[in-house]
Amino acid sequence: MEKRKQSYFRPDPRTWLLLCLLGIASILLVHSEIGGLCLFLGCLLIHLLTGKANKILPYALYYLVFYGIGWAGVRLLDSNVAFSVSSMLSSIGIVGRKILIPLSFATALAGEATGSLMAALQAMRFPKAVGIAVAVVLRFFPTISGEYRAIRSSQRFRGIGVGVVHTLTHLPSTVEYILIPLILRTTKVAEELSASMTVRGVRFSGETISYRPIHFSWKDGALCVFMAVIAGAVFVLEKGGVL
Amino acid sequence: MIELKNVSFSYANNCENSGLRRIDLTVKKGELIILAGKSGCGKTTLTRVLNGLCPQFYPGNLTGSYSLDGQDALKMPIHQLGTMVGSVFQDPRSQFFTTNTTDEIALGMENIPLERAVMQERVKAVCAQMNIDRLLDRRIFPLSSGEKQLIAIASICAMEPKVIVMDEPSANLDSDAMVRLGTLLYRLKAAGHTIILSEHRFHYVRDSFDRLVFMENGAISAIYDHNEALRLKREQLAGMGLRPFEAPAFQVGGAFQSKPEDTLQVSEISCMLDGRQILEEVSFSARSGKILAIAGPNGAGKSTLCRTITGLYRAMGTVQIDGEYLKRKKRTNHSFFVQQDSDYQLYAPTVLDEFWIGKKETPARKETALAKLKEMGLDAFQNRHPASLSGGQKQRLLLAIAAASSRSLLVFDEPTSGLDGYNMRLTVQLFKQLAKEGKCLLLITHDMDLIAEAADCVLYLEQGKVRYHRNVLR
Repeated sequence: MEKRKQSYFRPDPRTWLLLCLLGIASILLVHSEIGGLCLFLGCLLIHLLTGKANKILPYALYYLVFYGIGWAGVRLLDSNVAFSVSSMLSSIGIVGRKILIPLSFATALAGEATGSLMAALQAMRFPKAVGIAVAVVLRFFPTISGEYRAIRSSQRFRGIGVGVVHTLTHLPSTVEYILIPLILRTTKVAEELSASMTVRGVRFSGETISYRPIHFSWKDGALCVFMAVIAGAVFVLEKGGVL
Repeated sequence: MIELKNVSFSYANNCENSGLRRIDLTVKKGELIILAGKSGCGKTTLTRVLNGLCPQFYPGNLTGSYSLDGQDALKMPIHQLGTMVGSVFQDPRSQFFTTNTTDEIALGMENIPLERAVMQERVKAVCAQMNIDRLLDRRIFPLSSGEKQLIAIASICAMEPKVIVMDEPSANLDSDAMVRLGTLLYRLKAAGHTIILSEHRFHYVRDSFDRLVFMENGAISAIYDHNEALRLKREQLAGMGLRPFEAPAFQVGGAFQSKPEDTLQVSEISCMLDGRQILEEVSFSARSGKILAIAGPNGAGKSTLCRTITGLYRAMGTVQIDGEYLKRKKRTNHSFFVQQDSDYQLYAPTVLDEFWIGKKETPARKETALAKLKEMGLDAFQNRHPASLSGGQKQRLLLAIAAASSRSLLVFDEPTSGLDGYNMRLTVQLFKQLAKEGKCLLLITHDMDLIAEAADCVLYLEQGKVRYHRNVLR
């Protein structure tokens, strides 16, 4: 199993960052339905080539869900039901499908070891503060979700927000009982984390050496070129009226 | 190595009242010093002064002088001080910066900075010494609190600082990990490192500490050398609010005999989380009026088991409470789970309001709440905001809420983690009172003092399986 995993090419963190930026640029430039689908298929192919085949099915499902939401929005437009609802649904469908492309690369970037990520950003001549900010963001979201789960678990034993009906009928108090401990905990965690980082010299702006070596190979370059070529080709075909 | 002369410190925001008053302390190179005292006596603030967090991170007024290895430490920037004074903090969940264990261990070394080959060598050495190779290259978030604490300790030890300051490093560790930590500290001391240990549990450094510094109200009340400290009688230590030096003396005897009328009957619970088998066909029972301690190494599946029993996690197997087979959601209604951190378990604007949160306030409920608050010694705080209580008081408030909940099964996750001797003994009394009232108590704990003083039987888990379920002999 381990050998099979290692046989795949593991991109440099900078590759994911570049792919993410290319993804953002491509969804801003490409507007057609078919063009968007081509970009999405190209994105899935990159995940397949980098050993992330297990992600393909979930991404494909998300794509279909967003397609369904968009389709429902358009149908509602036809049937003259509330315009705001139908336009909102169709917008969610379109934006959701588009955002999946850079988001899937960003998720892969988030999966990289923090040390590699900071080293990669430093190699790209970004100030250290950028690396720290990225690492804190990656650290922050799982922390918040962990704290949220802990709060909700505790609340079940106190009879707060048990079930959808109870939550909806007591929405203001439920939200209050979630937010207050969440803010208290987040503040405490942020303070302690910051103290821990400070004494370990993370904020030190001098030279640092990363534990993990990073290497941007020709394969990394090829992946970025592949994505750029797909985006460029789709854009040109779209402008030429083919798509 | 360390010389503190007439050091006083008060926090600028005045939120934390545990400042320092006229601290005079000299620590030689290679000494292991224990800072002891009741919670809130100023131990943590003293460690913050030593590592430079006070006043460089926590602003406040610091007077006096602090010399470190012949240099004026008060003039050193904090990152420079950090390379000389390594710090392990109390809460393992909020002190890691990266998402991967190996990166976390290497983090401090990257910033010194050390050569990559040296870092790799040190990571290997420290992991071998602490027996934590199994934790390398794993995601930090799914680890247990004890495992996270081991990573935090390894991260500091790998930096090989001249001085190591640890704030209750054993609070979440199992017995084996504690012994290994004791050995590691002994080796570090022998290698010339100066160690300052703020602790409530002393037995794992019983043979290696040099002096015990006893603090009260932000000042040093007494300093005992090794022999003087060991001569302190149990009653004297109890009077000082400290725990004993000796490892608690208790034995487990014959196997616990399950009976059909037992309040809790757990049968063949198996659970997988994050693609790992955490529990494997765990079966046991627990009785009302008895206290069952669930013990075992860090990551053995203790918390997962209790979360499954109380309906927080889905798992294979069956759970019977009060003779009734219950589905997951029903189990939550029949039990009360007090988690380790009280901060996210208190929601109301006042202590008294906590008792009818999610319910209606009735005269009967108010009467029960007031009675429970009185039992726990919290009646004077009924109109205070729960967040303003101390850690021990919050813990007792949760005990009172659990007692008033009329649930027959009460589960507590590490209830005495970080508690001094005084608060630990108080908590034990309250547990015994709850058991006397007919509640069935499960305590997830590594605290041998707690097991020795409170538990009637012990369920020992190892790698997700029951190793034994036996009665405690006294």
